[in-house]
Amino acid sequence: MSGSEVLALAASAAAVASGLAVVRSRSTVYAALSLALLGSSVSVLMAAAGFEVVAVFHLLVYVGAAVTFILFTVAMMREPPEAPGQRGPALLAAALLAVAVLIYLARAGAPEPVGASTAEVASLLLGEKWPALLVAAVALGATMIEAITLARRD
Amino acid sequence: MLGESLLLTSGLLVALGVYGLLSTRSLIRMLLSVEVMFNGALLALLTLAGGAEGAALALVAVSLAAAEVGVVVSLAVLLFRRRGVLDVAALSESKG
Repeated sequence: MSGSEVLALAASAAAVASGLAVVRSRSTVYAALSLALLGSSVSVLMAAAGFEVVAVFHLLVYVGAAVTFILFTVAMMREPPEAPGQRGPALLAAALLAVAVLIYLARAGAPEPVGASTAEVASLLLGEKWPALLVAAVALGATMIEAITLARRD
Repeated sequence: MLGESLLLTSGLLVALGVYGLLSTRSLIRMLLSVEVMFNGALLALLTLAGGAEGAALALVAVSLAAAEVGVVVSLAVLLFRRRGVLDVAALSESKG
């Protein structure tokens, strides 16, 4: 087993443990912290699969901005009372989904991930697929306006 | 080996997210669970799509997920300020 495979296995275990901590933690602040750990573990997995530029982007934009935003918001609000949903059906749905994934993997197997270099991704996004970049920029701008409008409304 | 590991992790994360989403009524908890599912889906996208196209799609998906977080957190702040709770059941009683 190569070094990157060992790293990927460790990151996979960390990602699943963090995901479990997000959904099971009693404190919302700890749940948000666990989400940051999950995002970091997923970034390591992406880098191990050969997507270094996506890993760095995920770490900077997702963990560094989005998850930190959730964490600060949660930390500044007092802890609301627990509002439990239906745990039995939730557990059943999650178990069925996990079994479906296992059956898919056992039958079809999984392709080895094909990585991409920064130059390839940049030339694709700035060339042929530029509308995707435009949509993302417009969405982020619109979100900023939405967030400010919602937060300022009394 | 790496492909199986990534897809298995992805499936487990989506399953955990589904459990978290259905087992709570708190808006922030639901958002956190959806984000767990998003991480799983992103891993599956990169494994199955691969190459420069998959990476470009993943970059756009991460940007849009950050946008979605901004909107939902703002809604949560507004709900909490008005009602003092984060229960989504309180949203169904809202008018206007």
